[in-house]
Amino acid sequence: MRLLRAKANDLFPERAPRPRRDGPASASQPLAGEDKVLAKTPSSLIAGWRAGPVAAPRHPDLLQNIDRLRARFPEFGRHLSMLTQLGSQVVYAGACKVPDFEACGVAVVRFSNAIETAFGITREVMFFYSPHRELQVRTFRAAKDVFGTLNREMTPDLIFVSSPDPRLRERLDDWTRGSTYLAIPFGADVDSPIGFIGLLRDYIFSRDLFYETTPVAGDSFFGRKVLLQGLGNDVLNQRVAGLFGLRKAGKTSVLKQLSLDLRRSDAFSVLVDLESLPSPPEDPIPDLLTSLRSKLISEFKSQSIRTKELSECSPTPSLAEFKHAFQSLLARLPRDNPSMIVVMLDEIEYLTPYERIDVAEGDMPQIAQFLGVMRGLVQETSNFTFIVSGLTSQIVESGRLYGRPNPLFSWAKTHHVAPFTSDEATDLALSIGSRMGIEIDRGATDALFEATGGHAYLYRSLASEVVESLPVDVFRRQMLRVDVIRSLEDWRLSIAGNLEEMIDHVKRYYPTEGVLLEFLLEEPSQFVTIANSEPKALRHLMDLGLVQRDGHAFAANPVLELL
Amino acid sequence: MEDNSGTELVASLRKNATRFGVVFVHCGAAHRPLFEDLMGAGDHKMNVRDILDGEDIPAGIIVIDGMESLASSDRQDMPRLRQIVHDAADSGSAIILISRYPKIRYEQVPGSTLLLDARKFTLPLGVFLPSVDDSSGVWPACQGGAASAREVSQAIFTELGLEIAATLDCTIFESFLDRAEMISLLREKEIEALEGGGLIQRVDRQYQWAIPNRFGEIRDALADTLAGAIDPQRELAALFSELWSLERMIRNSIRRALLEAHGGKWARKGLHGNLPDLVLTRAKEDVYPGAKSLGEIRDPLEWLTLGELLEVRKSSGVGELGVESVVWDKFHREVGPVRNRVSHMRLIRPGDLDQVRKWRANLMRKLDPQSH
Repeated sequence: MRLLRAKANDLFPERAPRPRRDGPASASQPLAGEDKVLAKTPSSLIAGWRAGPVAAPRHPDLLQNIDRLRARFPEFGRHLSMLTQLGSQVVYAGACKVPDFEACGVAVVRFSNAIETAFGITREVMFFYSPHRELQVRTFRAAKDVFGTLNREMTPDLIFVSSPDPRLRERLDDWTRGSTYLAIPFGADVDSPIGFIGLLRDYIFSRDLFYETTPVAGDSFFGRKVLLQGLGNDVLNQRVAGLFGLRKAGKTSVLKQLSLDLRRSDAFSVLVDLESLPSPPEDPIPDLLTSLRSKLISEFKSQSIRTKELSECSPTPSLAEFKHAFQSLLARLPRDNPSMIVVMLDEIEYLTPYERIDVAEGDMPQIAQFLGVMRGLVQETSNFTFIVSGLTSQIVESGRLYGRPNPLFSWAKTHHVAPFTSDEATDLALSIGSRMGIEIDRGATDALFEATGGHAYLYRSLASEVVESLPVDVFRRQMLRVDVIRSLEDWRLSIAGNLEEMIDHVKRYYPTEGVLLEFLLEEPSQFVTIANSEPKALRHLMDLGLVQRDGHAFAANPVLELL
Repeated sequence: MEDNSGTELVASLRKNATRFGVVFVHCGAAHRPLFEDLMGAGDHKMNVRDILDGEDIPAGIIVIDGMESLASSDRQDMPRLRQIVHDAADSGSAIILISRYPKIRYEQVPGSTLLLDARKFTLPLGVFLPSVDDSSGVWPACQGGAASAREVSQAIFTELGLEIAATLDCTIFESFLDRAEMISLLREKEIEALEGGGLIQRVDRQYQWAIPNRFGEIRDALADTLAGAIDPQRELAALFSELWSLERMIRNSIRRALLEAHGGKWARKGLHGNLPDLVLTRAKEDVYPGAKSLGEIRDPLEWLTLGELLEVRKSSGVGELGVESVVWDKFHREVGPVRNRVSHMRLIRPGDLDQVRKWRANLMRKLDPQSH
């Protein structure tokens, strides 16, 4: 990391000006008009975008459908002409098949190879035509539902929408804000092939799929295959598991992805975020039981499972009431249907604040009692288990909890969310980059990994910062090592506070580990001596990915050099 | 401010909110004139109290003001707000949180990660021109002579809070560093607070004081703030309690080791140099007026400072007591100054409580394994 920063200073002693990027999600004016795009697009010849053209349709049925669609939506004819000039073709045309929206039209387009390569498109793309002068959000939802009505391989998160609504762009931007779903307004202001390219560029190049504000799952989830497999096995074998890792390491994302994976085995889960509840000295258990009951009922109903026992007990049940109701429900369920029910308790440290865990005299017996009830449910049923997730594994390693024996002591299987491996990180970068139309070279992926140590949040954050600095007015977008280096210092300044808090959080809950880490950073010559007397603390630091072996010695994760 | 700068500010803030989902804006005394622009930056504006009272967050870009009311409020407010904001963000809304206080001033409670994770948006300052007499115009609040630099400085420190003021006490008055180097002593969260408050700004990737030629007035305002602090800081009671337990635990461990080694003569054998006389003098001036020798003091260790206590450990031959010498040295370096601040009724700093808790947990495990 030091080398990367030194390089940044050498190469860019003065801050390089960044090209302005006014994406459509900002208050700026959209680009329109061929002249502006031509001036900005180095290879402005249409022929370039036509490379690798798609064969023109010949099937009589398709041609007839295209004619019908053109008759209903004259703008479709103009679009067809633009697309054809760009080597792209309509491969499907017809009325919308979503009930009550048959007045709308649908076309599916295959772009030329040049366009697909430049914008990271790998499948067909849907064009949705609405006749309404005022586009409604339910029509937009219907457009998304079209995917389920057509048996085609279409890009699931990209759609063009055409409508006479003068506020088309504004509405679509509003309805897709904060989402990775891209709805591109194909209005009358786009009147040429190059104008269409500019539209694609404005929207796809302005996407930032790296930066995630909330936990990810599905297409946005990368790596962690071994971890997910291990957790999945634990769940399906009714073992209680603990999932631990640094702040923003991706624990909640792992839990969400696990939930999706478990559905394939007919297991379902309920996630409870303990940070949303009161914390000791307030008693969190009443709110926790209320929340848990409510979420279980909701999940059971979505699976069409009767919830009589839970529904009939008090909305604010006591521990005994909850246990009795839930256990009765579990006993009633058919064998293997569902195969397993999992409660995921996330941010477990909020149930066990650092200054109160393992005190000689407890003032919060309810928490140990709650965990004892959960353990009892696992032992007394065959279709329930739970996972605890958070920063500190003390919840499963400490013999006492608030002065009482800890029900989870040496009973849960421990897993750690470590930083991405280099391969996992590269996979993330290349996959997301391609969806944004960005080629990321090996030097860039190496630099991203070196600078962040593979920490999920930091990696995505740096990639996002670099993407923000890339020019948009180019034929091909690339991220090179030099782009990463150039962005490093600004990025470091933007996340320094987050990183400092991440480490402070470790020190609060892992005091011995905190001291050990400080020795590694400040007096590395003393580290081995101290670490030898604290093998468990050293193990924790390695499991968290903060310390790694360097031959016979130890080294801090490069990300700590950011501080 | 010129009209187009307000438009640029709003555009930039909206873009940040859309990109990052939740944005935190520290709009304190120095930036007060920008407040109306900020409130108009969203599609809707709301007060945090109304949200906590049940008002729904609509779709779009939402500006939420009044955040400072949560800085030390009911511990239930922050987790509730966090859940509400996350639900709104999941539904596609973008949230702008406006606060007169910096993030560091908010109590660390469940739900605080809402602020920790919110992307900071730094408000602009005017350009500092050394040639201009009244460079206080760097602060929007001072532009056009609306307020003096001294008045605004005072208000800034009030909003930053006493913990930051205490940190700056060390940085500005105690460090004896060059002005430019002072900032290097600060932690990231403290830098963020000062930048948000308008005291420092980033120029070419380096932080510098925003109005270097009015530094004297800023120093004076800080001194007034420090001297005027008479209410106990929020974490003082907890910090004292931790220090009290920690020091007594160390004392007890040393006493037990000395007893084991020397029996009834442990005090005479354990205290060397001028410590016996020092202990006797202090005890006689307090509750042992008639004492003539160390043997008449029940527990001489109770009359030692932390530094002297640790010196006894080193010089008395009781050994490391299960804690490596380098760890004892680090402990003394880190906790000694905190203990001195508390015992001299000075202001405590951000991180003091965490620091002491860390050490109490570490040493308790090693010095008193039975209690752990």
